[in-house]
Amino acid sequence: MKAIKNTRLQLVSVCLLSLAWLAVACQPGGYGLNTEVAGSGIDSGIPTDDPEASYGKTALGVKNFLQIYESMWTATKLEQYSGLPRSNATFNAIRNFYTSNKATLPSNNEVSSFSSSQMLAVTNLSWEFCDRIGELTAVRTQFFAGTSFVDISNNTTHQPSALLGTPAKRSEMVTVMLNQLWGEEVVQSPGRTSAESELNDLTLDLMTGAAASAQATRDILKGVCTAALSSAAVNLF
Amino acid sequence: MGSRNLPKNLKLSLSLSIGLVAATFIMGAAKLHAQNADSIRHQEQASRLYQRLTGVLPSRPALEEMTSLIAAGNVPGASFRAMEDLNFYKVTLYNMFSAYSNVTENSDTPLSDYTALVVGLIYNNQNFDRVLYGDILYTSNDATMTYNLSFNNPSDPANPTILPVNRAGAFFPLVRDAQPDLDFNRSIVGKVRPLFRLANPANGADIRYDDNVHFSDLQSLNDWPALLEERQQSLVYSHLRTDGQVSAEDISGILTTRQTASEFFNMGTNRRAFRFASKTFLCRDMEQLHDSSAPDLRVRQDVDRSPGGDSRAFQAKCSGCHSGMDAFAGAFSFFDFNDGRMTYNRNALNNPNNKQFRQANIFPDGYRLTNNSWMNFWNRGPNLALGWRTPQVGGSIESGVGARSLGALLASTEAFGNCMAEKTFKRICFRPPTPNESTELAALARQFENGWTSFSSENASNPYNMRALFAKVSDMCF
Repeated sequence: MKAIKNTRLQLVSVCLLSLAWLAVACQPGGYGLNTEVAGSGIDSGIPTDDPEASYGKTALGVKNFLQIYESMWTATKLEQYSGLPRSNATFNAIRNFYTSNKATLPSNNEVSSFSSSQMLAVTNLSWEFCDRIGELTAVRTQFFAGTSFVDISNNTTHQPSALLGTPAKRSEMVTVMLNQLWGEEVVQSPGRTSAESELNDLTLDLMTGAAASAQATRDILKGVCTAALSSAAVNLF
Repeated sequence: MGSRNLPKNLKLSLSLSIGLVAATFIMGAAKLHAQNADSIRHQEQASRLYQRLTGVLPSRPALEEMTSLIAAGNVPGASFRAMEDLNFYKVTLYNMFSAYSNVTENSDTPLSDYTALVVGLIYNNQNFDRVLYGDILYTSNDATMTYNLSFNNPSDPANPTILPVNRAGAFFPLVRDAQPDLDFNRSIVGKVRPLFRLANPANGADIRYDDNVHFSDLQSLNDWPALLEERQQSLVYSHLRTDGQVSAEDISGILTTRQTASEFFNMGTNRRAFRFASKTFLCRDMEQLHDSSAPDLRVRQDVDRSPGGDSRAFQAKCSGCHSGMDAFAGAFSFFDFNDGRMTYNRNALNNPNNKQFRQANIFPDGYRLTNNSWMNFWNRGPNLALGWRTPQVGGSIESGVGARSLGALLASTEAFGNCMAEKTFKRICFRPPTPNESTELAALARQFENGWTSFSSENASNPYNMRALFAKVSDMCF
């Protein structure tokens, strides 16, 4: 239990960092003419004395409770991979968490009112989704199809050092995770490269002091998944 | 022969050639870099646009197609591609209009006949102005309903008996079993319980529309927007018990749905229905409509003419809203909400204890409702800016009878088109429009009223097509 709490703490830090990183990346100037992300018209660095400063630009937004929830179902493909509807008891924890904590998620798209407690709620909701990815063999089979992360049941051959012991293995896991949760890109963007690097570092951090068991490996996967799923790439737009 | 022996002009030529090759290489690399930067930018735009429209991340094929369309400068085309995703309807539109369907403006409300009607109209490429006056209601299609199920033996739900409801010569499969608490109907996976409930099996006439289970069930199905089927509101209501049957002159789209009744006809004086219709579809609350110059001859008896003993306060403040609002709200005179049902009684005003006559003693000489007529006192003065026009479906700018003619009038104003364009802009761009964009949006609203023929391939060229409006507005900030 304590290990899970520590993992969550680390994840929150990583998520906040990734959020800050993406917010910086989305500042005006990042997207060129007519497409760049402007401020909300009230905040941001856009001069307030020019009423046309935001002309043709879109402002940055945070997804609201429903958009976050639906994004996570879509990104994790839990229904598709498990063959079960979201109303199935297998997903009770997700539905119950969402229903009980809906009010703590963002209620609108105003990024200026996005708070740290909302970020925490997003992270916790992500954990519920990622827990299902880690624990349901049917989901893992398709989520990690063609990799060695499909079967994580043997405490010797599937412990963290065995499955994630090499940079190549860690990189493979992170790549699959991002392709599944953020979607495959048509062109590799700098943001993706940097996220891969951060998630690789997170994997190493989570491996430090982890138990030599298959459960520990699954927990690490869930941790990396939570960081990716609760990140700005999924929840800011 | 060493290079030192080469003629000078050959050396020069070689140097120039090498320089040229190097320059070409550098320029090529720079061009490649620029192309790559453009590709990344288009991809980011495509991903962001997709998420704005649907609320969820794009699939790889959708991202590829939209990236190409955006690179070709076809942002509306990319928007239409995104809108193929059902999440546009069940996340974005549902969420957007849920907030308008209740008094507290809470967007976390279950699917109702209000939101289903909005989504149904947009999904089926209908003229969206019908939302305020159409004889329409969207429910689940017949195939998805557990309709007409009754149980000879309630402990044996696997063997239901078909109980056909055949009224007015038309098979009308909207009634469910008498006992709503028994969840047998739900035992059929992927089905939803019908709209109506047979409240008293011994009396086939006691068919009620007194809960929201039909739409709650429907929302539990992932593809619910695709399951919506247009019904004729008047025909649907004709199956209800007498006090639920609404006259044709009062059938008016969203204004006469059960959800509207539960939120805006429930208690009070029915003025709320006009206020929220104006707020949602004209983007103007009472403060923006305030006009003290309008005649106060329709201001009702429950409004104090000298609040705090000062008649100037009535003239300067109260009258500014009540003059116009009370005159319009007469259209809803026969509506109420009781026992979970929208009720309609054409004799309601014969009852001196009618809810709209409460506190009549405050100013007995004030206007007392006598029928469901309405008058427009805001078609002059500052509210002329709403752009009043005679409704195409008939009626008058000045006055009318019933909610339908009022809905048609509101939907035909310029303010309706402007409001939809502005709401769409804020939903896509996440900011208010700049002054120049406001001018452009107003022009776009006029085109919205007529439709864009260029969108015929998207089946979205008809007037008041909301999908087309979303596509055009996306082009303004993406």
